Amino acid sequence: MTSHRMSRVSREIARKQLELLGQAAGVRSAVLFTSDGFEVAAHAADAEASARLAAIGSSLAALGSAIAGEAGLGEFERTLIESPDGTVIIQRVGSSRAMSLAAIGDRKAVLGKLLWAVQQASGQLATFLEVNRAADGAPRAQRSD
Amino acid sequence: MNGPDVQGEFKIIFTGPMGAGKTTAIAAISEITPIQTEAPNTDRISHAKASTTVGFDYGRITLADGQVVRLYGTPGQARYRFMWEILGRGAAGVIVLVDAQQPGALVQMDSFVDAFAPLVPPGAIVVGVGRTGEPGAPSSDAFAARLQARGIVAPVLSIDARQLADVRLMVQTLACVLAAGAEAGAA
Amino acid sequence: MAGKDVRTLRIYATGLPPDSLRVFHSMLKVIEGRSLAAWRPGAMAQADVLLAHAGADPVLLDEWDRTGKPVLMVVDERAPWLPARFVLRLPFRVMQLLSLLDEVAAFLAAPPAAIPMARQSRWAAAESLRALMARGGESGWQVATGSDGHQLWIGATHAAALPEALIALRAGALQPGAFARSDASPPVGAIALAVADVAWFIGLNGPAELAPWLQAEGIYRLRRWPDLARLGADEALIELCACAAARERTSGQLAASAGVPAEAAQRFLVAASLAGLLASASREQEPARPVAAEAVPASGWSRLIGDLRRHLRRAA
Repeated sequence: MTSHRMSRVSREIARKQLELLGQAAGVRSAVLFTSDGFEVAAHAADAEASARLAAIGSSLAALGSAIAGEAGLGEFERTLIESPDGTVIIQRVGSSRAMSLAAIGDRKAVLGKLLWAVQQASGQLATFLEVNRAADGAPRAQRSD
Repeated sequence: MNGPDVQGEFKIIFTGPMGAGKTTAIAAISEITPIQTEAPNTDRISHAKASTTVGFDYGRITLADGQVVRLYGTPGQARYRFMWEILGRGAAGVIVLVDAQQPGALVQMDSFVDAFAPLVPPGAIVVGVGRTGEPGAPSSDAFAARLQARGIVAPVLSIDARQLADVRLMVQTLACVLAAGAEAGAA
Repeated sequence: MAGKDVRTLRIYATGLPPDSLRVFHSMLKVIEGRSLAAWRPGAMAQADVLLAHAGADPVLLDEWDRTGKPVLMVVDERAPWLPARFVLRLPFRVMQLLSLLDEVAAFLAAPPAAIPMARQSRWAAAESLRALMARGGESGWQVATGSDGHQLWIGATHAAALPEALIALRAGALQPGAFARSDASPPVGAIALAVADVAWFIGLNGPAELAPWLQAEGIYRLRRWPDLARLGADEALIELCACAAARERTSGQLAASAGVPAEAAQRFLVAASLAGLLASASREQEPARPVAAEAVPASGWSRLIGDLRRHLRRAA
């Protein structure tokens, strides 16, 4: 799966980045995943939960892309799900569609702050992943038709 | 029992493992350009294809009086099972596509039949098997015999999902099965 | 069934794994009084039917083969499909055994020799093929020749014919005589195909009546679908398959529910029977799994299915 495509060190750095995101107020857990639903790194989610979140998150990102495309709004950037007890943000990581980030915030999370924290994390991760792509031999993101 | 949720409009599910031809089959028969939710496939060990469905495919057939048959394609990987359940709910029937050349194709058919049988009316399943003619691939009879051994009587058709005639035959067969089932159930 | 003249049939089992053999013997007790015949275990010399695992001693199988009596082949779960008439896949359930034993009993109750000559010749190809498949295939080649000279070959594992003979067979233009043993082999250029496919076409294009081994009042149901994509199908055939799979019916009921002429339903039943796809139903048998009535709430839905079928027909 993806794990063999990305070095352990890279995954660990990605996890650290998610951990930083986890320090933002109200962030309960976060998962970085490929667009075809494989978990790359997770913070504060057990293996089972993060695998499921990765799969569902990738579907949501794909549906987000589809609906943005249908509406003629260009590329998908993020989708937001609000519930009485919290918020989920699915955020594209980098300019390609190769990876996305899901962050779950609880009731304490302030939406604006949460969005900012997720964008920061996404930006950091994107930079890191771009730099490390060649070194890790991770698959170059490609648009599929 | 699940049945169609909206009167006068029903949906057919295309499912099966990655690379079996679900997206292709819907594109072949849909009257609209299908809505697709594909992502680059990073799991080249399971399948060499470049992209894979991660949300769903959507196509449509509009009938003479404006009624709509909705066609949904599911993701093929088991990690998208939640999507199978969302899409399968209220479906009129399911078309399970498998690729005879893929290792374990018989077991793959079993797992999709088992996953979708509870979501559709009893018996509303058609199995389409691709690439049966290639060397070493089990014949469609092996798939039918396997279903029979499990007490399931469902049509098994050797098909090429790229061919409109083959996809049409699967949908036509499903429609016949549904009609016959309704008649047998009502009798 | 019980209370009528029930014929006692002896069955000898060989080559089965010990567990399966035990299960088989206890199943024989369970189906007591429920089958078309009374089944008893018997020694090979006295047996009417052989139950043999595909991996059984070939010498013993050859010996049995010479008796011309039917054999019920047992294959492992993952084994490839076998071109035999009566096949059980491990692990089998009691209803599957019962269904198959009933078919064997029906076969033994109407042997080809008991049929009047004129009818016999009309059904020569089908009957010889049926007998051949009941024995689980022969080691050499069997050949049947049509009035136009085209030939069909049946071997131990598959059938063969020249492309032009196959076209004639599919079109119903090849009306073969009985299959007979041949020392020759299929000609160069012959194409291999499944024995069941040959059986299907011979049945579908045979006389416009029920075959001697099927009864007008008999209740039948499809236990496995033919591959209609491979064999080629018009809408009437799909309809017949769907109706025969949904519930057990007589030939007449099948014609009525599929909306086809009586001969079409009869030919379909013969084809399905010859190809080993048909179960003759008895009351106790496992019910087919029809689409339940409660799953079809709206009459609008039935109309929609009809509209969809018309749409596909027009688009074809």
